[in-house]
Amino acid sequence: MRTLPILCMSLFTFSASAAGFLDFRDESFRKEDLKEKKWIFNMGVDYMQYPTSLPAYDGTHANIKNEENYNIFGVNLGVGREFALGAGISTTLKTGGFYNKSFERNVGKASEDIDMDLANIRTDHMVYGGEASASLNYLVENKVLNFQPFLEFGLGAGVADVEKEYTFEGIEADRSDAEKYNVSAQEGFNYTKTSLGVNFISQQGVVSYIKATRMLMDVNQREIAGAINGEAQDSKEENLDENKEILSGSVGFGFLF
Amino acid sequence: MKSFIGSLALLTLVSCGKNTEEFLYNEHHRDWQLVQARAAKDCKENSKIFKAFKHRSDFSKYFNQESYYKVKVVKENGAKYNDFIKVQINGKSNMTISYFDTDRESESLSVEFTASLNNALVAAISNGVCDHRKTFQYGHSDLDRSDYLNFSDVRKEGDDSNYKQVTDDFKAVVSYPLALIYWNRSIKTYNKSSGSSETNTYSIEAFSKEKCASDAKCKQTDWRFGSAQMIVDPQAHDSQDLDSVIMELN
Repeated sequence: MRTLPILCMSLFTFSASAAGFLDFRDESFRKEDLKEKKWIFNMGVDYMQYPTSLPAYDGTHANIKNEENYNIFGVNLGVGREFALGAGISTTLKTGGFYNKSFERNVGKASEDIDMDLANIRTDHMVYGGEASASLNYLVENKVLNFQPFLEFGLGAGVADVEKEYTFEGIEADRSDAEKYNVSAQEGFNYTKTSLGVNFISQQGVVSYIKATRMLMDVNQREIAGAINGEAQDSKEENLDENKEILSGSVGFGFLF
Repeated sequence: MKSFIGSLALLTLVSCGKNTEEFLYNEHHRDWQLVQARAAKDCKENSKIFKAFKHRSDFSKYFNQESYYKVKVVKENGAKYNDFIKVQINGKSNMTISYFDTDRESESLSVEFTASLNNALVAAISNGVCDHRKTFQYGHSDLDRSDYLNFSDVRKEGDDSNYKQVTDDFKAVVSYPLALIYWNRSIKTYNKSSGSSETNTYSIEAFSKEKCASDAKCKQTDWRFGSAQMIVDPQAHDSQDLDSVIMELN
């Protein structure tokens, strides 16, 4: 699992770079502005477990399931405006997007003593989309760093492109046992999401955040192209009503202005 | 700011990919022999060095009409001297190799080397190098080089307490006719019971006709010697017998 190191490294990197970051924002941001309405910009890194649907295949060195979760990483951007409601409570309306791209490669070598690649498995994911969200925040003020727990609701739409390739060269002299799976899938989806997180806000309006998200996806379209051992797998499904649940985590930074 | 965004971008790039490697078979797998055979076939057919040697079975295309080589001989008894080789290309698939033994310990000789012998010799070497059975595999250098190949044929007779072992370390240079490996090798003989060992080394370097003419010994010869026959055994690697060698001169 790479999630934890990523979270730690991001937060560490953030704290190390915050001073330089201030060069780019409005120096006139005042402590009192924390309680007023203000713009917010944020960006961060995402981790999600994406449920991938592909034609199942049981090969000599690969077992591809009809649906399988893959770890995907990417970036997100958001911009919005925060409105104070009083007593430290505020609401933020935001629009944003995300772009996640990950790959996995596995090379199957013949053996420890025989340096020959016999099998290869490659999985590429690209998931991207846009969303609008609203959150309810509560500001806890401190001398150095303010905390702002928040609950966020969002709606969005996205596209997922998946490519899966598996080849086995075969070990029979005539290669009659060779296998090849090469399928790509594209699916479109709408989603709603609920996030729970915390903003850490400095007196200068610099924000770092961490949040966990549960997305409910409604996959409405899926197109599959490719072949398994020479047998075409092309298909297109429209008006699907397939529901999936995705859990994701994000860390990042932003600023108020 | 720049460093932060850079770090974030780097972090994203680093974290978004995963490369792994695994070993699919081992000696206990039921298909192990098939895997070994498959690997041997792949090694013989696709290694650059064997392709290079096979291409050079067209002698007139790849070798000079006449070329000379110096063989530096270093023997266990301390003797050091140079022998000489002259290679005469007689056509696309035939050459005459004349070996001038300046020490006169053995007879100077003349050998016909053909394209089919060249291919048999490539097969003999590749069969040994590409055999993945540990007992029979020749040790070797990188097979993806296309300039030379070092390989070792180790043969052993007797039990662990009393055996004789011969290690033949060959160097096959692509720019030289492959038959010359017979004189580009180190032969080490070890006798376990007596604890004695003996190493004789032959190493070849290209030599010009002019240099031969100015060398006191090389110029003595008229390069007409008694003929010998080269015998190649492509299956020599399959046995540990001391006599099971890839090439012999009769």
